[in-house]
Amino acid sequence: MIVYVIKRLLQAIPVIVGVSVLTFVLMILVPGDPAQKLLGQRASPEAVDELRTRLGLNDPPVQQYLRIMGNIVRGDLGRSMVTRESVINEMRNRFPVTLKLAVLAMTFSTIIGVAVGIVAALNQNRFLDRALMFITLTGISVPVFWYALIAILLVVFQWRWVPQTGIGDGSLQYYLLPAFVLGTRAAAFIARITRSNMLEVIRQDYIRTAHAKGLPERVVTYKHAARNILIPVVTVIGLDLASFIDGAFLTEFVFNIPGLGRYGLTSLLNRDLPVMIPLVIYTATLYIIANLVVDVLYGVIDPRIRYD
Amino acid sequence: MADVAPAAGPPATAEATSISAWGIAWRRIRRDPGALIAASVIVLLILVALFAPQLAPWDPARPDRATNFRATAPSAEHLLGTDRAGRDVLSRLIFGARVSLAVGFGSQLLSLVFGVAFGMMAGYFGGWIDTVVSRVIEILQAFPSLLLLIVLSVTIGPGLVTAYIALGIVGWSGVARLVRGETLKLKNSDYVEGARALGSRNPRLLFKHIFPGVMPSLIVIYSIGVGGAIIGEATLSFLGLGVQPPTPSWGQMIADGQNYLTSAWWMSVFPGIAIALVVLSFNFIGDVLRDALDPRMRGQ
Repeated sequence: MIVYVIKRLLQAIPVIVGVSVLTFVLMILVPGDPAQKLLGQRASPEAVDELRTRLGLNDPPVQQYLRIMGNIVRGDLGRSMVTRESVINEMRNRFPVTLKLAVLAMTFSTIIGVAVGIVAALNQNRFLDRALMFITLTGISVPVFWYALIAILLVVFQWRWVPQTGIGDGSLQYYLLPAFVLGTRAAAFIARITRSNMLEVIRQDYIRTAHAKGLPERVVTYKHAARNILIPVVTVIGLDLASFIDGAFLTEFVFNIPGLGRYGLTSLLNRDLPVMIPLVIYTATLYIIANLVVDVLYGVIDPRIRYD
Repeated sequence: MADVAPAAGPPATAEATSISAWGIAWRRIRRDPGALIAASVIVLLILVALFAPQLAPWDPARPDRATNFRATAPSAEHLLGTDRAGRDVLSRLIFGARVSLAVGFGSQLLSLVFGVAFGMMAGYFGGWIDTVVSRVIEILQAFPSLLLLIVLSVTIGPGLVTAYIALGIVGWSGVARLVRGETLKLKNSDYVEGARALGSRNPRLLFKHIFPGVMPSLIVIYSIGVGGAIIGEATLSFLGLGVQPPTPSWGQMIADGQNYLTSAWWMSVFPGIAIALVVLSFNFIGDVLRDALDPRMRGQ
């Protein structure tokens, strides 16, 4: 398995390099001169050119790319063009907020998703199953940012369960609603996969055997069948990770949560290049690594899976 | 009613080669009440978009003076209310359908054309073509799609054309990966071997024999892709990176209303319902078609 992990890590390197090159090229093509933007519209051409030289923007693109990548690897990200704050400090401060939100949302979506999926499977093609599947499909179809707005309208403004958006004093109560919103899509997705896998599992011979030897329905369902749907659920969390990251960006944005997602999205909208480049590369790298972790987890959960 | 199938959007070349896949798809939709409703929603919406100028009760861009240029609640005059500039929400929704549908169908058609071309080439010819295409797919798929979408929109500059291109690029890699996999499987199948033995050349093999085999998966991925692209376009518009005012789009309408949730909820609520309804319809049809056409993809 260690060989497999090393092999996968090595395979990930060209992808990460490709991602960084693509990001860099796209950023260079972003209209507008960063130096001009920093100095304002009325700056003299000489001053702009001098800043360009100082920032290294007059260097050949390959040299610029290598320098930026060197900085990113060393964690030296410079300052935001808009706020003048150190980018790495901002990221460090915001990371715990996003992590807390993500963990809460993941926990919520896994528990609800698996439960709904099992209930739907046990009631296959009955009304409850149909209703649950319709609800989950709706959950997948609703735009996250709108769903977040509606949640704010109802929960914050109408029912007043939470005093305001944002994270207030940072206590848990402020995280619950955004985590619920962020987790809904994943929950719906997990429920659908859990259902179809559960349907497959309960047709297996060993389940029939368990029934035949007179085990109670409850034991068969939760001890024999449910255990084997763990792999698909892990798969789904891996598969759905990209939409999860997208959702986190939008949820933080709408809920005014000072996490990485809001920071990233705001920087993207402000065309704040020193923030955008590392952020996009870090996010993509994180995504690649997370996928790798998911693949390795299969083997831990299911010893039948072999890596070669 | 056979015009419902094109709602799921075939590329023009597909029809002649795969009547059977469409036949199966249509039969399946007709049998399923839910799918029939979903298909009706889509057809209805296409008609609404086509006849927007005739259907919209008000000019979507011009405020109604009687409202004093303010947001007014839904009334007999303005069924879904007016926005903060006094413009009729219903009329803006009707015109917004044009953007959503055009970008949804159009961008995914781009994805499909490029995805099929590169996917089939990579799968069929293998070698360095496959290596290059596969690496590019991997890199594009390493981006969370919203991130890539925003980066592309910022780079190209906000607007309608950008939305097409960005969503087309984002969707392309998924289609290509699917088509490549299918082509790999099909090119060594007995019937393709048989056709080759009978003297079929590469182009004929690809278009006459392999493409129809890929078709069922394409119908499914297109239906779901259009739904995803409609959400993508709405998200871009919501962030101010999509279609620019005065052209109304649903995402932009939600953004307009987000600071007036308590005083004018109708500004944001109705466009969101419209998006959810359309995307739900596409996803529902996609699901039904997947079960009908491609048992291997079931449950995914």
